[in-house]
Amino acid sequence: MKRFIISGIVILSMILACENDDICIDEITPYFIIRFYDADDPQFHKRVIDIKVELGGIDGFYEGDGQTITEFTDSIAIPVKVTADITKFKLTVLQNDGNDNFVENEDVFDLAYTRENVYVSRSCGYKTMYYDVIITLEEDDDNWIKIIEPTEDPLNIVNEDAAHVKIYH
Amino acid sequence: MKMPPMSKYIISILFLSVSFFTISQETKVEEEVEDVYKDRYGIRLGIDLAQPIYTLFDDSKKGLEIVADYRVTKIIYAAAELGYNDVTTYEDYFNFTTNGSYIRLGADVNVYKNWIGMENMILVGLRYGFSVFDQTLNQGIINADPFLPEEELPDPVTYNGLTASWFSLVLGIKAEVLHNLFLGFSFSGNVLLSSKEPENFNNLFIPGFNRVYVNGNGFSFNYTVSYLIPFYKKAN
Repeated sequence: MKRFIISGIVILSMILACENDDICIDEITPYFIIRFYDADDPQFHKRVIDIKVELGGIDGFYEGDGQTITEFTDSIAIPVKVTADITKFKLTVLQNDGNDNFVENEDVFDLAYTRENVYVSRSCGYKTMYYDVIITLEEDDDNWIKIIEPTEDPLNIVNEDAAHVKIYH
Repeated sequence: MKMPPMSKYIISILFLSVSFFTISQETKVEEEVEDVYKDRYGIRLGIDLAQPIYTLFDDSKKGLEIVADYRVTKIIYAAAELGYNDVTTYEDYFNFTTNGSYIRLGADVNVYKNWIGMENMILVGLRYGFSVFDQTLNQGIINADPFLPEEELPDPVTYNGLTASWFSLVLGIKAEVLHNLFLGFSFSGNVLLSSKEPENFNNLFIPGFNRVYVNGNGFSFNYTVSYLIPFYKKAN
């Protein structure tokens, strides 16, 4: 009879070796990843200097966790609005004017998309996926962005496995 | 069940260790009393005391569970639980309400050797559980970078006609405190067999099963008070 109880306890403790799902470790709403290339030599990455990111309608610069956006980087990961079907981005970089003077140059582009909210897990809740993303660059007198080009067509932002957009400058 | 998991664990261990002590104190009953003593056979009906208490004191939980067992042999009891749950669970990014009923069918084995005239139980049992329920996703926000303005999920969505089935391993005790009146505690480890999941959501709570952990496990317990209706007496 004791054997009954002991085996019961053993089986129960095996059952109760539950995995914890209180901490969110799954992928949540993906970031929009931009990779910077050299406009003159398109197969090479080219870093941007002191990039600043602003989102239309939101005060302040997006700074991320201090690792996604650095002073001298060839790629950035930035959030896309989950409250609207369009997000306006303003990217400001420092450019050498040819005389070793660095001047700020800001370029603006829009991201238009359709959103879908997808269930992830108990601790992560829901995330947003962006489908059929269309990028429109606003032309100005002096665009530092020469070409902005999606890496796939149609472009969907559903994960962070690879860059979504290439910017040649 | 709002108790922290650890205290659940400790309480169940305490109960189980009590049962060990009881066993170790077991002494051989002399067979001098001839086999004239007859055990009582009958149906035992009761309710879970924990669920009405939750219903009274916790706005997010309502429930009721009726328990029954029927003595088949000296040590084997057919057992069933029938219950209803209406429980709201709050998570970091959303909250949802589960509403439905369940039945658990199976058998208990009494592994405790009673002194003559006593009818206490230390039980090890198995159950098959089945539940029909609805899930309502009440509120939630999208999990995105905190730099962005928050997006709330649209209006509450109800997913109807969901079902789930599972197996439970039950450990418990039942003690006769007054003539024919039993108090009991039991603890169930549950393993999910099947679950009809809602679209774009998951069954994170199932009536009768309680919280569903990622690998489909869970646990539940009850404190019961039950009454024995004897049908007949039979010698061993």
